[in-house]
Amino acid sequence: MKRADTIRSPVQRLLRNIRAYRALLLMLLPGVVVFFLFNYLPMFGVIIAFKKIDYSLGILRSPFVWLDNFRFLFATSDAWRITRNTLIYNLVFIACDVFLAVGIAVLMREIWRPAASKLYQTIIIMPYFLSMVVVAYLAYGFLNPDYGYFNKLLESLGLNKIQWYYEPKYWPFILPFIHFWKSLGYRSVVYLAAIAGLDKELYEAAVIDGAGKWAQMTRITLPQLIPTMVVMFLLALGNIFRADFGLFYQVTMNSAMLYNVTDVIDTYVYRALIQMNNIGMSSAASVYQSVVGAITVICANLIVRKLDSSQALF
Amino acid sequence: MSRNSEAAVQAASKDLRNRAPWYVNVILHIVFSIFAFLCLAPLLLLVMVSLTPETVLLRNGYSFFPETFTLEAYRFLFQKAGMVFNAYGVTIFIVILGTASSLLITALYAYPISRLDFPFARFFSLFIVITLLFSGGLTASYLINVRALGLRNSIWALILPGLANAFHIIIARTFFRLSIPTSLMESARIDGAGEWRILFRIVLPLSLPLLATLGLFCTFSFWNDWFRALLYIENRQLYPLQYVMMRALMNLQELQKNIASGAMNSEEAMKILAEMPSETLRMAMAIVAIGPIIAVYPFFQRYFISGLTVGAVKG
Amino acid sequence: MKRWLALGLAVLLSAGCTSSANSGGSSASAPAATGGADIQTDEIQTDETGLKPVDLVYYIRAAEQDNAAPVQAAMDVYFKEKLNCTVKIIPINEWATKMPLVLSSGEQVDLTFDQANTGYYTNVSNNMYLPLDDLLNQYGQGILEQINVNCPGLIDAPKVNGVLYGIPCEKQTAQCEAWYFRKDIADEIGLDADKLVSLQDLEPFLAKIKETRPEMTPYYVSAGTGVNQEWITDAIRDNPEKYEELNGAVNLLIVDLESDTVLNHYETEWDVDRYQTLKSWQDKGYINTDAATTTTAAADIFRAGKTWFVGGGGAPTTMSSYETGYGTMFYRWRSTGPIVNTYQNTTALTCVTRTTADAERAMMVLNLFHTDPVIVNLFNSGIEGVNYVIDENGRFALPEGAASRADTGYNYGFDTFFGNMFLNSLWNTDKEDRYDELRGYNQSARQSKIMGFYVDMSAIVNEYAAVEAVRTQYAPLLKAGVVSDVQAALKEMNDKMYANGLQKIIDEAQRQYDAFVAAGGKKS
Repeated sequence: MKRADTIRSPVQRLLRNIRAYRALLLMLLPGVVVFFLFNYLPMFGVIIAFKKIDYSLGILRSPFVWLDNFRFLFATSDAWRITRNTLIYNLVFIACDVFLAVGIAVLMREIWRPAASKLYQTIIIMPYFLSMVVVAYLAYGFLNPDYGYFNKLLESLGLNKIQWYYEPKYWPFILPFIHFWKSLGYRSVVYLAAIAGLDKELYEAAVIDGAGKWAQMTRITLPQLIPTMVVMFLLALGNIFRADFGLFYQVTMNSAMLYNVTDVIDTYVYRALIQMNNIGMSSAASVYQSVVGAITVICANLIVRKLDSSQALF
Repeated sequence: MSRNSEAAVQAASKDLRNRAPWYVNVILHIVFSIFAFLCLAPLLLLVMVSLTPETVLLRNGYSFFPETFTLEAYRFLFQKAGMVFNAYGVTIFIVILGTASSLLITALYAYPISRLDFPFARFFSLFIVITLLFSGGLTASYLINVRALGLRNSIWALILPGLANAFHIIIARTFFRLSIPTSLMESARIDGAGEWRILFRIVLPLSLPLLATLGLFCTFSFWNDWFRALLYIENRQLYPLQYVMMRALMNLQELQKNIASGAMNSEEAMKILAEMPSETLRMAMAIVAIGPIIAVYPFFQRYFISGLTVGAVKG
Repeated sequence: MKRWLALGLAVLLSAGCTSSANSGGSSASAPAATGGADIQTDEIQTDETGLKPVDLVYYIRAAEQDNAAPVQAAMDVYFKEKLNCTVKIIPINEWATKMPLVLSSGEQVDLTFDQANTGYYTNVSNNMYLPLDDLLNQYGQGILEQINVNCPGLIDAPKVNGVLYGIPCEKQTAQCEAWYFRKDIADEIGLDADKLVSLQDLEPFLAKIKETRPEMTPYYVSAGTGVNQEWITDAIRDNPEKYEELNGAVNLLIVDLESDTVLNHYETEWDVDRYQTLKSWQDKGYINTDAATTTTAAADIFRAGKTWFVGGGGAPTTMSSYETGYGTMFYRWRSTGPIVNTYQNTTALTCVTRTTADAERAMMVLNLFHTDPVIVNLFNSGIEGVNYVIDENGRFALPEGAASRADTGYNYGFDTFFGNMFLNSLWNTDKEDRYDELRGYNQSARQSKIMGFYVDMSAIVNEYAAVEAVRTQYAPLLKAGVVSDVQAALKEMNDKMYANGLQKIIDEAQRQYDAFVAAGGKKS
């Protein structure tokens, strides 16, 4: 900032900036309008979490009960279990999503024939198109106690069948596997695009300098991908208290025997509220997840900004 | 453009100096073959199950090689669910218009906030990040969309709420910052180009991999969305594909529930239940839904798979 | 920006409005004659019926039909003539997701279907519905008469603290758990359904099935849709005079009518016995191993020939619809005596909401639903010559070329939730004495002693939610018989429910029950 600026008042500076950057501001306009209409206007709904709805008064004039709607999230003896499961699975997912997807994108580029690379890409992105309900059915095809492929295989090997849906010990591996199976191909697309955007001249120069593949990867590709990785990581953190309901409810067939390792906040809320149809409590659950996510993102963003302000989200 | 990049790809692959050693190549092929197999096998199972007669399925469980084949589930889907062809039309309209407008809005928003010299960049970044963290919930969205914006029974209800995606904008912002050399923009500015010109003539042409990626994401999300139709559309002519199929299934579940609870015991309901291939139907629906979208995937793919060679365009 | 803010604020305020005027987006599609611009016509019509024109909206839980427009038009003409109004039918299929949004958004809803399972009591406690007692006395005398003829006592069921918020339908009013056994197999293994008394009596037959038909699951239990497991608590099944379920907490609480105490049925000795039986059946291989998780409906399994009986309600009409539906003959065992209770009679209610354009007219319309065979048949069966024809016996029959009612493009399948079911004309597939039989069934049933009582959980929602989460964790395991030690599992479950506030729930239910008894609600 130039010293001359400080002489002007903040208002003058603002006006000057608006005039100077009016083209850029105009570009922002359509997005701002859409976000305002479809994201900001409905945000008043957050207050529902703090009210006991009385339709004779309307949403706005319904009495406040403040944190009463939140109590069921903590008043349960399962509070620790659902928080722990949600957090641990999400941390594993967030960390591995970034690294595995980058790995796939980087390796994909090293296959000699582009046609083969294209074919692999097309195939590994396919699972992403399936809804979790269908994935749950497919998983059931493999894990079904009587007809499932795994049990048939065990039987033919002369081993005992496994009651997959009653044995918690396997699920901390099954769930991440299904998560990665479904989304890795899709996520790697982001990094493929980022790599495609890198400057080819950098590599040419590196080759001339005699840098091998490994050196190119560690010295050029990865450093260039870090900003994208940081952004993806920060965005994922916002949902750290939100679990993939389809994965934890449908894929596990809601088997109560597995709850110790599969019960997450979202499945608990579903079970607790399914009979009640209470919008105050369901929006309380969502506000709770948002607030924790927001705090996490803000903290992480602060750290990132300390390290390199140009890479921060905001 | 495409011919150029194809040629560039060939040139690059001929560039033997910059290739991974052959054994690395072999290992990569093995690894990716296994990965691809893991992804393909369940999909094959999906196809097979959708072709299995319901009774055989319930008797023997899922099988890669069912005893007999039937197209019953597909017949049911196209006849009883009805409107499938009309729904394809609605979906394609939504996808094309939605994706195009969404890309435009995303690019227009992402470019200013990618500029480190733009004094409002941080404010407008925060403006969209907040939308990722907080939402007002379904009740409030429904109220605004129906009462204030009058989107009930309007095809715009299927498009407008999906247009602005903060996640996409932030990815685009990162890409612009990373991949567009500021020197290019500087020199354009010196040549007297305005911001609009810089965006459309310099930044976007250099961002084809990004646009392809985001275009793909938008296509998926518009293609897969059925929930908005559930909320806002009661006119059958406007049902998108996924919703038509979702309904076939929900209808069935609702019937089963009513019959089980003894609340409704009409012969009619029993007949519908008897005819409906419920589990194979689910699989057939998945096939019908993903078939066409897999076909468009290679179209997007060539922009980011041709990869490093895109850099050549910059010269 | 300010303009949008103002707009948003306006929306909020209109959402906050109580029962004031409505924008009513739905009226646009009403026939032009009701547009209101033509004042002259309105006046003439007001003279005839003494009523001002109004357009009403009626939400039903059903899938929309291809060919509903002609029926809607005929209904419009008919209602115009009778009550100078129109009633637009809006079918909502994904009821649980969409209807709460419609209701809370403040859109015009004049009449709506509801039931205890879809939030009737929640909506009442949120003040969504208008109290109907005065309106009923003034404009709904026909409803009261019809209910007294067909289903005496029914009108008390949906009352909340003595106030009526929903009009129940005249239909099957008695609840009863029943089992339907495939005749051929039952004959083969020598089952006499009339001799069965308790669930345990099934055991030798399950063993025989297991032996002679190894491809079958003798007792198929599904955690998904399609109940094929007992749903009446054993305590009640064995002591129907002593215990009753408590509406509002049917899965958890029962009441001892002799001592007037509220109990958690998972603590009764009957539950221990029951679950031990189920566990031994699971161990012996009578129950499918995936019982706690499978979502495949029992009906599908039955149809695939993998099991030999299905559960269902015990109404006389059920048997024949099962036999035609499944295409096989059945023996029926009613495992409980039929009872007319609050739960069964809050399954089909029609409510008038706060956002109605005209509550009085809505009640008049309801009165027609319950007394006028023309409108009942028009709504349920459609138009003569299009959706049905009348055969030589004066019965409704399918028109030529239609294989089912759905083929004519109009069949909501909403008969049992709409007005007075007894006014429907008979179809040629119905038994001659269909309605006499049903009336007889209703009258033969025992009357609940606590009709109209339900547990209002709104003061203890947090405890109830937490306890429900525990209950839904253990119940499927117990019902599937897959726990390793029944007593230990029940103890663990009960301990956990108490840790999450079960005592508070029992106390609150007891308090409400005592108040109900003190107010003279309990019949002796």
